[in-house]
Amino acid sequence: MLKLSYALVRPYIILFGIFLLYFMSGKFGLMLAYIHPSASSIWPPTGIAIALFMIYGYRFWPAIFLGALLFNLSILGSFITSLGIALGNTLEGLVAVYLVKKYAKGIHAFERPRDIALFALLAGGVSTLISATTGVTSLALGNLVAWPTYPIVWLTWWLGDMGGALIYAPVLLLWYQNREVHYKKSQILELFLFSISFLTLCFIVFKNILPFPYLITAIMLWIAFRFGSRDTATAILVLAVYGEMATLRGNGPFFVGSTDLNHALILLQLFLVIISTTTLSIAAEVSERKRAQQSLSDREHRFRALVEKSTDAVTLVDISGGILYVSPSIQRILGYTQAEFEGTNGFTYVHPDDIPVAQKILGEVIEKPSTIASIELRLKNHGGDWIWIEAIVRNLLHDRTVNAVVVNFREITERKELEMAKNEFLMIAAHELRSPLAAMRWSMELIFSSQEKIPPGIADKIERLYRNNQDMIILVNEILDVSRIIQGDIPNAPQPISLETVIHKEVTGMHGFAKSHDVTLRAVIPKKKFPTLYIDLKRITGVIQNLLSNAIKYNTPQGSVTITLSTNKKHVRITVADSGIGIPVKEQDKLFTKFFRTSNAISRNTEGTGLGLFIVKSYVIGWGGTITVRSPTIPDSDRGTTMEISLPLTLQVKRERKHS
Amino acid sequence: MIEDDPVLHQLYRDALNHHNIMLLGTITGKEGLEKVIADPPDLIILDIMLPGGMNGFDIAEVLKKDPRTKSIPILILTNLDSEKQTALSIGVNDYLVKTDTSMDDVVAKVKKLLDNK
Repeated sequence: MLKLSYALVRPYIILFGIFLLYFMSGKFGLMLAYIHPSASSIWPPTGIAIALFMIYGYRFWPAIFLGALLFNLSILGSFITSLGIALGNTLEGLVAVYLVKKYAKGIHAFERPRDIALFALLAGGVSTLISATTGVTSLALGNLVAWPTYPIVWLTWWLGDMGGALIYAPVLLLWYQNREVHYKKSQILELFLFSISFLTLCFIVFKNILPFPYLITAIMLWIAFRFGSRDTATAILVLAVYGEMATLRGNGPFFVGSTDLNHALILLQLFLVIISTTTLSIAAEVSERKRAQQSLSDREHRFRALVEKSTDAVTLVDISGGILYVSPSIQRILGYTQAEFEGTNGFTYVHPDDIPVAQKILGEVIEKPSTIASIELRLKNHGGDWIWIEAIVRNLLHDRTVNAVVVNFREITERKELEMAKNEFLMIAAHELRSPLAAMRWSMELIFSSQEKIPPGIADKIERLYRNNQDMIILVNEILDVSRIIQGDIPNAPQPISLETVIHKEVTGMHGFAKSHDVTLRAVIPKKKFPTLYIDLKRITGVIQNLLSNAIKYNTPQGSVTITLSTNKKHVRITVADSGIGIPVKEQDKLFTKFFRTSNAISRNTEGTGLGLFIVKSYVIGWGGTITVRSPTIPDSDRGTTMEISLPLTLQVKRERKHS
Repeated sequence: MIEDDPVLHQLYRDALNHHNIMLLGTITGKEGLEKVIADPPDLIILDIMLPGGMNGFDIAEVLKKDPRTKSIPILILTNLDSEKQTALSIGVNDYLVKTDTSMDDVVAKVKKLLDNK
């Protein structure tokens, strides 16, 4: 209830406050001018009106108007003249605030030199024209000023209002925005020293001991540089009051070549206006720079904290793996201190088995700017144990501020051990399955080879069992192959291989399988000498078998499969083209992943594990080759697939020179 | 035959009987080793993963070092497909992976090894 009633009266309190403040400021302004009433000095009410309109809004104009009216009435006695002056004063404040809000950032006008200049022009120079004109005209019309003196009175009025706008408004607005007064001890001392020097200098200058106003300019730079806009504006106010009182007493450097007080006051006001605008601009510039610096250092601090407090270790390495920087998390992950780790070469920590792949990844990343690659490898920790880490490698060599390869890594030992355990379990299980599978196979073979006659209804059932047994054996083999690939332990017993021979042998071996699917299988091998490759026979055979069996299985009746061998200067190419069901384009990039089977393969209910192509791709990549898929290859249909394996000729056997 | 799966003993006993080859079997490696030394056979069919603390490699190594047993051919018939090189380096005479081999192939290998002796 109390709150509500306060909210209701609050505007009236403000209204009355503004009125009182404005009225009193007029009296104060007059007090300064008491020695010579006709020469109006700096006029505080102008600045106060601007500040109040800026802070409380235009709707409090009646308070200003009433304040001006009563004040003028109290000195002049003429109601009509006072009304004219009050109208001009009110309008001046409203126009000033309107223009400053529109063009000079309103209350924030003192934050940037550009806005300060606009404030000086709009609030100091333009809006004051209104008050000076209506004011002096009202006085002249009321016969309180003689028409011939109109121009000089007008100029005095205008300059007085300008001074009020540029000296009082900034102080009020800056204090309003920044009311907190807390200085560090050293700052208090500095402020004290400044005040002493400042007042001493004012005394020296205005007592004509050293009558040079530029001395004041110099000391104003001190406060502008060191204490910011608000304190600068305050010092300007003190200077204005001091300077005015001294000048009105007939002292100071502004009685140059004349003893006319009005002349001296005009010069003083010009001086104050200039010093106010320039020092406030300097203070704004300085604090803007300080703010920018602060925000930059805040940002740097934030990023540093992000890097240093991150659970990942962040390292910067050069192109040879030398460590330029490592974040403190290295201690938690590997146990080394930053100092121990920096300056060493990253590869010295990598497990010997992982060095080739680590070098390969780094090489690939360095080759192209902005590339990112990830890798899992083992690093030796401070205690000498191997720690599995997952690293993201990023090339920022071209970024002049980084100029390094960024490697972020985290420990994954636990996950890796779990994966290994899972994989090992899979391998043991697969191996164990072989005994019963072999027992089944051999039992059925014994039945077929026995002399006893098998009833016809039973024979084909055993036949079916036998085929299923074969599929299971293939599945177990594939699971073992995949497990070995995951373990990074691909069996490798390279021997000189003639691809023509291998292909011919497999095509012949698969003839029956193709026939059972009503598919024609043929090999196209040019009659020429193909390079002999030095690779694992079992694996290359497996790769070719896999591609051929896919091409046959996922074919259509009376379809065809063609395997082609070709070579160029750098590669030997095996292409398997079929007329089969094709592979939807959007599934092609998933084709080589584990357990993936294309939607049309599943819908056709064809047998398959989804492991074959994963194995094929892993082997081909291990040989440094590539595998690509194109589908559909039959025009105007979604059918036909072409798989192409390209193997580098670096797999060629280097002819060994026989020493005799 | 040193093999921990008794089903396989039976299967090979049946298959080899046709060819007038008598098969004796033991389950653990240790037992097999003792039997071979006590009464040397003409050929040993050996599994690798065996219970009882001694695996096929251990047995082959002992037998191939012992002058009394060193000339007995050893045919490894196993589930492991990646150990052929290791086995041959010990002196094992042949190496077959169970699921990759037909009954006929095994019997043929056995006969061949016996003939070469």
